[in-house]
Amino acid sequence: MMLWMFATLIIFYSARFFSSKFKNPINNPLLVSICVLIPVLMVLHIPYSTYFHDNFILNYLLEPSVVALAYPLYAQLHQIRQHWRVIMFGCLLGSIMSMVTGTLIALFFGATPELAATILPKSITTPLAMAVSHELGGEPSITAIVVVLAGLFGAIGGMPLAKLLRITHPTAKGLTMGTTSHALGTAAAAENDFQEGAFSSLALVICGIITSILAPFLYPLLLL
Amino acid sequence: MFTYIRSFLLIFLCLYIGKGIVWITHIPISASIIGMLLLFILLALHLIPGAWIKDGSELFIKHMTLFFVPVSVGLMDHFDILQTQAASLLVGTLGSSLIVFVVIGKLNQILATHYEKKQKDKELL
Repeated sequence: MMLWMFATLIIFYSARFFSSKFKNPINNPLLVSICVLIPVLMVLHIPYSTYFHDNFILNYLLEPSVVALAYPLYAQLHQIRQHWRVIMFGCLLGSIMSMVTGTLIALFFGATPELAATILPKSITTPLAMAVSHELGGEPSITAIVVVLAGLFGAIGGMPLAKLLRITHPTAKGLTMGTTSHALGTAAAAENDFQEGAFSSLALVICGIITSILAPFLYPLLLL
Repeated sequence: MFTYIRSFLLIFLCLYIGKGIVWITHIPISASIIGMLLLFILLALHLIPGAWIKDGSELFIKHMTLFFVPVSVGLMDHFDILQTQAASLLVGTLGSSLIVFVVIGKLNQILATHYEKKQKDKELL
């Protein structure tokens, strides 16, 4: 049965249609889809496993769409050559800051070391974040949720916040979206502007790799 | 139609080579990231023309947000942890995201405009 996949498609594309009609950051297709689907599933007593099983094709397409990000990256190759110092410096500092602040704030609010490890990789893409969380002794399924939360932060709040802070340069905007909000921020940036999407996907990859490599060394230091 | 099939085949080929690399080396980097890097290298070295990838990848990216819906709905199974650990989860995630966005965003803006200006000055000379 693929009933719930059709439900997902109908709800998502109606949400996207309406969000293109009424420009409003809260009117985010992903957020609207979640807010419609979860109550419907709960009222009808449909377990998440049933819903997810129906949607395996959509979930499967997540991986190739990450691979597809290579194209906008390639299309902006000359820009990357021009801006490599900004890219490397911003991504390195952003990755470290994201891990340190996320973990320390969580610990301050009474998180166990396991929960802190769960939150640490929140700003990198889901498959990478879950691998890092597992390696540090965290709970990958909850990591998936904080990753979505960090993603929603950028997808919903990113553009208004950039406007408020006068982050106007497409390079800066794209890099910041990718650093803070991984693929979700990248999707929002790519919908907004091709070049922003390219730099966002660049930050997504570089921050993902930096975080995966540094996390096992940084995490024990944060627990001291 | 043919250009779509060709780009899909190449994208999936890179993904499955990535999966193979992960399976053999047990590297803690996800297969999709390795596949993306592989495709990027192939494009950058001009081993594959960009036009071969363009159509399929643009289609994937246009609908990428949709593919996050199934995972995101998983939130419904974790309301208990969200409740008991709400403060550390929410403040930790959103607070940190805000700090990183503000600081790194401002820094990126300053660096990007600075280097662009330098580049332009160089061109003028």
